Amino acid sequence: MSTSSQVPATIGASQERTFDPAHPDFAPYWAGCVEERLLVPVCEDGHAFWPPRPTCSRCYRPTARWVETRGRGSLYSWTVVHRTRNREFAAAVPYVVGMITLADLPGIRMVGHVEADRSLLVEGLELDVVFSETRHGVRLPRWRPRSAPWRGERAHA
Amino acid sequence: MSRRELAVGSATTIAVTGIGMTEMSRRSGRSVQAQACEAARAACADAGVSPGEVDSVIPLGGYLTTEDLIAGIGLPDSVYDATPGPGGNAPVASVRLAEVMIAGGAARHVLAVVAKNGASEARIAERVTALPGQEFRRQLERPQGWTSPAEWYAMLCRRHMTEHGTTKDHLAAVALAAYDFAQSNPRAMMYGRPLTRAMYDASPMIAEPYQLYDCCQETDGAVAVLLSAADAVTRPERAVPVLGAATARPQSPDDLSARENWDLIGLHTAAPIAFERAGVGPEDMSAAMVYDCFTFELIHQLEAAGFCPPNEGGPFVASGAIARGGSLPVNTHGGLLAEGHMSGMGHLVEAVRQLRGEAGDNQLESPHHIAVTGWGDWGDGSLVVLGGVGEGRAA
Repeated sequence: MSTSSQVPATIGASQERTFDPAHPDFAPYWAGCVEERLLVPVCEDGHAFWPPRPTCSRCYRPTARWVETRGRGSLYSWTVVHRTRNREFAAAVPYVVGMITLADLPGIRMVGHVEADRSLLVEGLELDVVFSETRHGVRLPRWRPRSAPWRGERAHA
Repeated sequence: MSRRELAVGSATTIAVTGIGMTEMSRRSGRSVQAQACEAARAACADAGVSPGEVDSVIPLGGYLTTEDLIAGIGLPDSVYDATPGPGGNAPVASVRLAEVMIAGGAARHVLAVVAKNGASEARIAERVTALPGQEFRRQLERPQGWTSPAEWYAMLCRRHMTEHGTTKDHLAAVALAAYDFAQSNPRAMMYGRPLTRAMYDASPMIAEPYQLYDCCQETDGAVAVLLSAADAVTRPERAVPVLGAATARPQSPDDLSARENWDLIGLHTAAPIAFERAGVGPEDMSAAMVYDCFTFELIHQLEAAGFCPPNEGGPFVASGAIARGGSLPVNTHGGLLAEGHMSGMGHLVEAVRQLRGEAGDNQLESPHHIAVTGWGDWGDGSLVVLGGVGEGRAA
């Protein structure tokens, strides 16, 4: 694991929170988010893989360490959500969720909330990760079109 | 033929001998157990088998237990119970499970029952929290706003549109065909509620590209089937033989992000196995009952099962092939989109009705083989080939 940061103790206070930063398979990911770094597991054989599992989804060897991705990607698919029972997003509709192919870790895709106008949505749209939103005391990765302006947040570029 | 599977279930070791179904509704006002007992008792009666003769039971839907059926209809205390993986693939996969149990000598009559108050109590958004891969949902997807099956499968649909040119016209053709069949099925929730293209286009957006009529019903009700060893059939004039059955999961079965090829689902593996066991192919089918949780997933499975060439499911449905009078009528009961959502067990029942000649105003002319597919979770897939009444041999 490449970060020693602790996840803030305040999280867990809300019943709305669905994620569990203490889960052993995901703790390094969440600790990375605290530092605004997007971390991906790597197995004993050196394969980076996603989503995090106890073993590599290619060769089934155990996770050995975590590596930081630069957080650049392109849009593989998407949906625009107009109605949702996810209370955390009820006020955000319509909003975009995408499947994003990472540029620097071949073969890895991630699900991400895309902060983009729907008129921009096209396959291959280049996106950068931003840690623009804090929920339950945790910075969450979001994705923005590379050329779009962003407001005061640090992008990993 | 899968190298790893036992060569169990070539034509024909078992048959569907009984079917039972409650009313499909939005608000049953009845318990899951009450509806399950009604459907289960009806399936046994249809087969001419008493509940005390049932050796094995497959309770499905998430809220029904074996105990409910022992106490409720008099299944034997010694009844053996098992369930396939969770989700909408389970009902069709349970035919394969019954086949294995019967071929292995563990049972002669297997009762599979789906029961739920899927509209008035535990709706789909709640039930999916019991599916595999929950940690990915909780940790990585819900915090990004990706929450429900409509949102998940919209992403699959969008990719197919981008890569293979599928259009909203194609999706509309699926919905319109389903609602048209439902207009002559008095059991259908959408009976008496015809759909026009203008209504489809004007309907509320749910998760693009899915609008309201791209999404299935949510339903209260119960459906049961009795599966029996070929030599235990008591009413052969009503027994519909299972010619072949198989079930499989897709690569990266509990997560879409790591799935290398989104076109490939469990049905790509299961369908050729089931057809080989049956000794027939997709081109031999008189009709198909295809799991239709969302319009594109029907298209997806038509391709996966080999009913049309790869990537050409959209033009295939737009040609009218799946509609009333088409070359491959699909979901002549209205499916999940318009009859009701019994997790696909309704599809099995409709195939049996068609092959018995009991499908009412939607009866096809002399159907001889019908394929039924299941879809669940993130792309689990199953396929069963049913033959005509009296086809096959006693074991």
